[in-house]
Amino acid sequence: MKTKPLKKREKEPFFERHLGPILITPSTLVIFGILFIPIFYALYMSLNRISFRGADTIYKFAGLQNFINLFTTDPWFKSSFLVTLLFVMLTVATEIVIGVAASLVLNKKFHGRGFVRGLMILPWAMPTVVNAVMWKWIFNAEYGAANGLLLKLGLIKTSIAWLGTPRMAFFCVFLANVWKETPYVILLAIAALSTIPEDLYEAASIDGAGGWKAFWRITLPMIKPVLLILLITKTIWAFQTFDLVAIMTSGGPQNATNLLSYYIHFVAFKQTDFGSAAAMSYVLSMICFALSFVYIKVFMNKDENDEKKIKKHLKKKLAGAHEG
Amino acid sequence: MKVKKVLNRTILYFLVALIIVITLAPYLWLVISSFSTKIELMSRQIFLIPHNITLANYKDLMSKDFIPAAMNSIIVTSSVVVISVIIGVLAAYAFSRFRFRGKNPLLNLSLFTQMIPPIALIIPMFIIFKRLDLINHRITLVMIYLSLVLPYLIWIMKSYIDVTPKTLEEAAMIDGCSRLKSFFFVVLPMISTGLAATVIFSFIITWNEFFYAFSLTKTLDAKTLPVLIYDFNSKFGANYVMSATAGVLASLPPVLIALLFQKYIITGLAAGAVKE
Amino acid sequence: MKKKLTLIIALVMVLSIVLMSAGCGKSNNNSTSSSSSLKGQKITVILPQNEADTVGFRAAKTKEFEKETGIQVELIEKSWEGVSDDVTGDLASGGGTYDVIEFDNSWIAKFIKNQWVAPLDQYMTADMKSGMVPGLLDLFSSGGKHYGIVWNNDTRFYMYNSKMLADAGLSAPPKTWDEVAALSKKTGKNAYMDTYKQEQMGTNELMFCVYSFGGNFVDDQGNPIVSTDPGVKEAYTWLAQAYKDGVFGKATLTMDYEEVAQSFNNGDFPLMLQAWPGVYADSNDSTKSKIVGDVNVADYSVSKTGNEQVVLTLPEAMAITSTSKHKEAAWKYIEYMSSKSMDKERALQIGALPIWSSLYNDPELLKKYPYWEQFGKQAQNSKGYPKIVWVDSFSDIVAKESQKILSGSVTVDQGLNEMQKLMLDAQKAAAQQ
Repeated sequence: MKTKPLKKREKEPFFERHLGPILITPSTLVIFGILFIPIFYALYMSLNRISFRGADTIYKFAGLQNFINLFTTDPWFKSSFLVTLLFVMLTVATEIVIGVAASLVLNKKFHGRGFVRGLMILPWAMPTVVNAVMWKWIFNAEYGAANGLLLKLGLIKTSIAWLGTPRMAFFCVFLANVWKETPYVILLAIAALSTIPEDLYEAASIDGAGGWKAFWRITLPMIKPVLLILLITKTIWAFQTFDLVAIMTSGGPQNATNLLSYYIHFVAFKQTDFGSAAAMSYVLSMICFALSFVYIKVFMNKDENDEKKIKKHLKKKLAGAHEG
Repeated sequence: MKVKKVLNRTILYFLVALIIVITLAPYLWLVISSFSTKIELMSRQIFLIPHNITLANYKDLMSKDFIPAAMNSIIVTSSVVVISVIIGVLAAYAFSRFRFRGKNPLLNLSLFTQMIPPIALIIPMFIIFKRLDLINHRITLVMIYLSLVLPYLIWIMKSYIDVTPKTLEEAAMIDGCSRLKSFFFVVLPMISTGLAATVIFSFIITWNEFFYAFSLTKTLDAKTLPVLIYDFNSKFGANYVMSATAGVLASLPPVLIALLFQKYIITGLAAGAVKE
Repeated sequence: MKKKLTLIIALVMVLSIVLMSAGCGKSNNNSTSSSSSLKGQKITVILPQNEADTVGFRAAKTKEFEKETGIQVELIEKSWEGVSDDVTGDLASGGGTYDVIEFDNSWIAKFIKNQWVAPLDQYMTADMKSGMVPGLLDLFSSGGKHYGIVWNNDTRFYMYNSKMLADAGLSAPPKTWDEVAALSKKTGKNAYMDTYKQEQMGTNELMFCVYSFGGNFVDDQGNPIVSTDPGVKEAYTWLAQAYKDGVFGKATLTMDYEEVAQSFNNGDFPLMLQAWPGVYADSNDSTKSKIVGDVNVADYSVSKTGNEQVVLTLPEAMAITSTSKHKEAAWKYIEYMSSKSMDKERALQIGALPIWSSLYNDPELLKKYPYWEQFGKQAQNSKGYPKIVWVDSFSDIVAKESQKILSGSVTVDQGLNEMQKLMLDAQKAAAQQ
């Protein structure tokens, strides 16, 4: 196989012979040119103390000092890191749980199902900025709709300063994020649910396993691959949340919503401490990179083994159900 | 048994209604706000239909930099969509059909790039683009957005091309078509669904992008709609009415397109994870 | 003999005046000739939107400037935060984008240390040096050199809703912080709202409160004294209690300036402690306000005892970047926009406080803005940002730590000690750079 095509290929013109690499060149150049140069430059910056004299930027090599400072002298890094961690865990968990629950509801047959499913696209397609502005307006302490509604329903007596206390503000940002991101889980979960053959459930119900049991035994294992991918990607993206807090809270009050991305931006562009900001961004990157490796592994597995696995799974389940 | 069924249906419809209300209500309030007067919005009442339905906010908006920002959004988005589809589909084809050294590592790396936090890129990017005098240019945004959209597009299109049978293509080549020709006339029509999905995704991702635009555009020469909306929201201009109005307008294109072409979106979503 | 001497002196004086004016004429000639060579040059100007400028005064005058001089101006106006990000970001990455920039009073030490702004002494006329409000000139100078010409003499006024006060049985607005608290207790409602947000604007307002209690965050050498200064402690003790008692609304921790003004004009609370001149116009515009005719300006500000007056002044200047390639043209623009006649016109049109001393005695202006008469008195005690290099950290620390104290999540002492520690760290870090 190897020698024959080679001879043939030599006769082909250069363009045809190297068509593959030629076709990928523009895309590769753009992707790696735009993304890879900066990521290495950021590493360089993180290892330097950077100051300014007129038009000049002075780099003074500082080793790991910027990284050490994050944990010793930086007043807000630790709290910002913890807040981010909390935010990521809470939003991702909530989105997946609510998303799966809602997808189960929307997977039932009812009038107007197509319409309701279509509706799920609305929050997903909306610009994040508009989402943030919308919720900031709803949670406005003086004239917001949240207060208006709760007052009208008699659930509260005086207006709440939603974004004014640390816990409330965190909750509001959390809510805004969940509203926007959950539909994505719902859409993917519905797609995954539709691949589960009906007869599996029928077999299970003969077996006496309805409702919860069927969910744990059939539904969850069948949509697990999708959920796993969602879990990883959602986690990575939640770590990068910026727009929401930039618009809704500016990281406050009391740093309760000072997510890392926002804090890094603040240190870089407001305090012009490029070295520290680059160091922080590298800490964040490392977390995302680690998650990405897991993601790529899982994604590849899913791509290659998904069908095999599902078939195997199906066979086993069906056989099990019939035996019973 | 029947009672139980009725009960189940009732619970189901209740849950569906709940989902609808939760999804629609916040956005509806944004739309209502955009048609209301500022004084009425500050009356601490909530209402479905404002007493004085007004288009004044929209008129105001038109005089407040909305049109140039919208033009920037349109130009950047359409450039990204067109360029990304052309070079992305060709690359996807190459990744699917050809064997060459470094193929798999490249593919994995491109997937990996989607996971790099933008905040880690923006600081060096800002300095590099500054030296190249590329701050505040639409072309800069186009290049960055291409790098965001392409990896995803290549993955999806590759998965579509992977499942199209090679035999048809080979038949065309035997008939004397060149490789590229057979791709255009045989493969491309077969993957049009995937193509539609990726075009829509590229559009939505690009149109909605805020972070890079916020950091790299300074004036209306390049500022896109999300940045304009942010501006309405900052110091000396926490202008909720304007934000709401601009928000409604800016969200219309992606929302409408997504609703109209939801079929493609769902197939596209199933093919791979899309960053929103 | 004596007469002769006087004559000689008079002669010398006349001569020197003639010579000087000739010199002036010469330099004028120079500048006109150079201005013709400046024709066609393009400068980029970036300044925050002036909240009082609802008529587009700056944009219109910039157009006139372009017409008169032939210098092209790209004027960028956006929010203060936006300008701050853009200017700092640009200068920190080599500059070159802007010629005339916003030069905020809080940036003075940092920008001069980084050599981001060019000294203006070679351009400034003697008239300017002697005629502009000395405090404003001094503020923007360092090491005997001037770096900025003020465009926004941002001084705040104490405005109140006289109808709401009358309803509460008050004929004059409270003079002391205790009276403010008493007012709220009497009405059961918020006495005032402000912005104590986690941003620089929050720091501004907290600074006012501390200053008015006679406190200081840093000493004359720029060393933090938060934990030992009695005024600081008193101010924060009052603020924490006031938060608890609802003297100001809890939303104060999230609101920004515009929201405060909107809320004030909506008749939600009676006192606006730190109103800027533009608010007054809005209050009397029925499309924006529900309190038309009810707003008055006090001739004092709230303080600890009611006797001492402190005015918070946060002026913003125009400066020329050290990387500008069109410094001459940039200066022409600054000169044009801050001439005495322009200053007066601006004052008349948008109520901006003048930067020329003599305009505070201008009958035409005083007729329009009678409360300016008090300004001379108040300005004696005007105070702004401390001149420290680590000002960004300072502002950040004050905004963030204050919120902890206000909402009671730490005690006043704990909070101030932490603030002190953080400030010392920031000062140390800045010294290392």
